[in-house]
Amino acid sequence: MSLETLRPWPAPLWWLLGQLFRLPVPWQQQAAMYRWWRTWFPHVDILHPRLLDVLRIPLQALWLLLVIPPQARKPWPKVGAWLRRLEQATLGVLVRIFSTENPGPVAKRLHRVMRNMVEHPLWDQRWFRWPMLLLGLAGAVLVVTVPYELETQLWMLLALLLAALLIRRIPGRMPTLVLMAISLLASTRYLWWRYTTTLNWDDSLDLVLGLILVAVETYAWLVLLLGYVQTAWPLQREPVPLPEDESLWPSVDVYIPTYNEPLHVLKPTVLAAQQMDWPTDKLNVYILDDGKREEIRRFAEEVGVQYLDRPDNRHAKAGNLNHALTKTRGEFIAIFDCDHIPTRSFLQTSMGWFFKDRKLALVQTPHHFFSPDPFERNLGTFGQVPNENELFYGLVQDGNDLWNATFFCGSCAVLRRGPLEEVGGIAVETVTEDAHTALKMHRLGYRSAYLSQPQAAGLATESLSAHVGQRIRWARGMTQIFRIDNPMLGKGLNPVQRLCYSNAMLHFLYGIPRLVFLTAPLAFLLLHAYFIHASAVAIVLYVVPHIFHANLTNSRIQGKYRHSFWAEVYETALAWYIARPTTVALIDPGKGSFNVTAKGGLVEKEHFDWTISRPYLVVLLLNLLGVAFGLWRLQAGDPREIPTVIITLLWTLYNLLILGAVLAVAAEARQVRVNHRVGLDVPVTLILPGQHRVQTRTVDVSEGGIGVELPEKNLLSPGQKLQITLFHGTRPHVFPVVVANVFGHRAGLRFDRLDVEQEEALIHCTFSRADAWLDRDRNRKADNPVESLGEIFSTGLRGYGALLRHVFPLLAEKLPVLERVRHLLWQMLPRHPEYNERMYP
Amino acid sequence: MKWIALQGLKGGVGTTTAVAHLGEACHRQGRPVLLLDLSPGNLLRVYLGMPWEVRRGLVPALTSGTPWYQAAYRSATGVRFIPFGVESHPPAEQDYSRAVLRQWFRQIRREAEELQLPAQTLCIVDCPALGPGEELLLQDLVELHLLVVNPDPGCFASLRQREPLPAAQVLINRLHAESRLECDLQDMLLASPTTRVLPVTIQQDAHVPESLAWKQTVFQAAPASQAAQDFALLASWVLSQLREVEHVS
Ligand SMILES: Nc1ncnc2c1ncn2[C@@H]1O[C@H](COP(=O)(O)OP(=O)(O)OP(=O)(O)O)[C@@H](O)[C@H]1O
Ligand SMILES: [Mg+2]
Repeated sequence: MSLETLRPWPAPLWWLLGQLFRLPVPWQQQAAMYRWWRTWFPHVDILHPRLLDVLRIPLQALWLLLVIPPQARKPWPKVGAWLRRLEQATLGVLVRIFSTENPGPVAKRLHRVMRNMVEHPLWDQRWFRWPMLLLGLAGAVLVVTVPYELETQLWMLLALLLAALLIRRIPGRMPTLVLMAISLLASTRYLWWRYTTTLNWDDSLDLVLGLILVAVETYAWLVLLLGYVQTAWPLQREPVPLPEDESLWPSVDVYIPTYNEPLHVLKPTVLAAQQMDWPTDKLNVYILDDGKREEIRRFAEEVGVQYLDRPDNRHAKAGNLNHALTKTRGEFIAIFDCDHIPTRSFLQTSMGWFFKDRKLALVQTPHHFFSPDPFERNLGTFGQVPNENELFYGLVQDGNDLWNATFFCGSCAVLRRGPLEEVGGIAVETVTEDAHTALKMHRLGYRSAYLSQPQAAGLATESLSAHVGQRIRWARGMTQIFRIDNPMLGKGLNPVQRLCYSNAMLHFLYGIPRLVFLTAPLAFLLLHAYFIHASAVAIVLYVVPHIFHANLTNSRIQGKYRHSFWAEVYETALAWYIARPTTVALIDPGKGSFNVTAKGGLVEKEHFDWTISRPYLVVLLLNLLGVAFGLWRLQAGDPREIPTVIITLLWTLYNLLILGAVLAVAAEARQVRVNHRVGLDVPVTLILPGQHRVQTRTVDVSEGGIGVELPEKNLLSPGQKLQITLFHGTRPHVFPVVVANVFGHRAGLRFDRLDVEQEEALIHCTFSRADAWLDRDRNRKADNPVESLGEIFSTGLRGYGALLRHVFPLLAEKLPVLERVRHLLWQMLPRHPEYNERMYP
Repeated sequence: MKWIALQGLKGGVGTTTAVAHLGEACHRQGRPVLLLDLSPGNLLRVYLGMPWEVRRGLVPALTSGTPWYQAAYRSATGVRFIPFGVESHPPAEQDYSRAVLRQWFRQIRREAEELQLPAQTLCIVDCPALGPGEELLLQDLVELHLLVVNPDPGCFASLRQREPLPAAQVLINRLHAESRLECDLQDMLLASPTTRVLPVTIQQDAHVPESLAWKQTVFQAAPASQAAQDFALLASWVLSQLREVEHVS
């Protein structure tokens, strides 16, 4: 309809041609010619010729003429299509049989038969159930223990592999369970084989090293098994609506504990908490200030919330909360760390379940972070690769929920006062008071619930060392609970709850196992110890199914929340640091001290965190030495050893890759702003001088400012004052701003002295909108193990690059030049033609 | 063929502006439109770029006995419209009385069915502002009757005095978002049980009179402006509303 989208063709070349030959070339033909050009010369923009095109064009022409025959566009098109069709057909049949979503007639009958089998009254008879279970178990034991010839093992490997690859493509929960079963069989068989045939009882060094590795592998197997149990069936609980009659709604105390966090961190949280949708006479917000700061007291008075402090600071956060518990009397307690900003819908969404279930003592919601944690920042993966936290909040807690084993995470949760007081308030015996409190409530028969929709968001920890410190605390605390209040023992828990809690705690013991995996191949490469007493071929035939199925299954269960292999990076980076505290806590739970996590700080300069990375640098050197030894062994060693050496070298290379990524974590990127920018895409109106209004969209917000898109480039200039309108529902709110900077079609606006009311309104229009965190992983790709490995590879390379740069600053100076040269050469290289339909500029 | 009428609660609230922009916006969204000026001010045509000197229009045609549809024009952007026109001997004020206008409209609506207009053409009528104590001009003759108001206390009071207005849907124009008063008035109107207020509000925007000075709508003169977005939204709302009407009937 509209005519102005057809812009005139900016074609210097065609214009030149036209000028030279006096040819009026119609624009459609120009477009066609242009498209043709972009296909064959994708790297030469003919509309904006550059000097070196003089070389690029003939090079590419030669390349096209000599190397790429026109037919060679898609190799083996027929075979490819044929294979694809076969795959589709097989899949179609399988999906029709297994899919629970819309089963075909055969599938329906099959399902009916299965259901009849599963629900048959015979199962209720003891004499039938137990023998059948034993029979199944016996079958599994047979599969695990029966010794095969290597060739048979190979066939089994291939069969399982093919089955898993197909099953993985079928949607639904049943196939996931089948994958889990296959994976467990493969891994258990591997472990069995390791115990029975690969320990060399004749050589003491081999034996000791072998036993250590087997022990560690057993730990990994246990965590795998428990993990499957925990995540087999995420509950995905939906919120329950509240009763119509508001007079039935209970009173809620909101606790916001703080110690030393600056006011500007605390402020949005308090304002947002105050504005949560709940009857005002039943909502009381308390700032629990252990810092006893006058400034905070004044702020509380100004905005009309209660301020509580206490004479001492015993038991840190737990003590602080317990003190408040004696001072207030709301029926429910909502707790937010001082940097977790709740949305206005928080209570409306989370309180409903308390009405439905009178024994419910806790509703937990995820901790969502709108700033990158140090890992994400230093790795540059924010918003693309799920961070360390996401597996826990996206999947583990949801999986726990099925077994009524969701535990309290210290913030973004609501607790019922009665049960909380019954267990003596927040637990103070350990440094992870939250999980321990939940455990105590579960022991008394109370229930907990998890809602996986983010209802609050906050700042992630700033610096790497603070992040590590926080994880150390978690690991220590969980180990402490494991020691002093072990979930496997004691009264009140059902078996699966025991398993879920145990897994949460066992998980944090990964420190030593990770270090062992990092160094194990060196035992062979450096010390020539045969710690796995088996031939290289046997190792491959047993290890491959174990690792392959575990990865495949986990990729399917966790893919949305944790990309393949990233667990290795996250855990390895922390392994060294949590290894000691967990071991100490395991031996003597009372040792060690509590540390508060610093937030709101700033990494001022790009630097390499040598202290954090020191242990890994040592391991790195050892591994490099190992590679050198390995190469030497290939050259000079016994030729019969060559396959073993190659396998061990591959393992070492993988370790080096992970180490590289870990080093990339240690290369602290510079942080530019104190106020974190949070991506936000909502309409905004710019009110320019003389009542001119322009509507655009926001790009991001922070407490101090807002980024907007500009429809025209020179609409704003730095320093200019104007007003903007943001919407809270249909209600517009106007804020005065100053233009801080303009880059092309983007402008950064700084808020110009907002009063309290305006700040409240700003929180309303941005952070506390109910839909604020809904599309958190909008532009993230699903997990693909191969791509994930690629990601880790490039991250690892960057890690080594950073290391070199910081070790040899001289090199760093030369680096830009080198980079330019590389870029130039890269640009000169001929390209594969791009057969692309959309090729207008 | 569907008919929509817009009428101001009082003079100068922006009715003519709204008709021109709504027409242009619908046209841009692919819906053929025909704008009809029934208000003696004869200002609708200005937004559509018609030169001053041309005096032709609906009323001269009707009074001189030529077919009224011969007074239809197309703007540069392709919007069809029929200006009110200027009579060579303008009659006394009361000659364009409510009854006369309604009678003309009935005739037009009847005869328009015979015309060679694109299918699904949407007709939008610009009515003169409500007089004291008057009912909506075309309330029983159109599918949708919008009453244009400004969010000021005057309009608010006069709206309250006239309630209930079952046939009208209230369109708020010229909202100053920075005015607490106007936002509160808007909220009160939205909350009122007897008055139906459109979920779309047009904000005050200096681009509107400036475009008028260029004899254009904001869609040509200031496409990025708030007004352009607001009117586009209004058009979407109107079109979806009409689809619902179709659905019911
Ligand atoms: N949203 C707006 N923002 C700024 N100015 C506006 C807006 N809407 C209308 N105006 C201006 O208000 C003035 C009156 O508009 P318009 O002629 O459309 O009103 P009207 O209700 O049709 O008047 P009348 O009752 O005389 O027919 C015009 O100058 C117009 O540019
Ligand atoms: Mg008018």
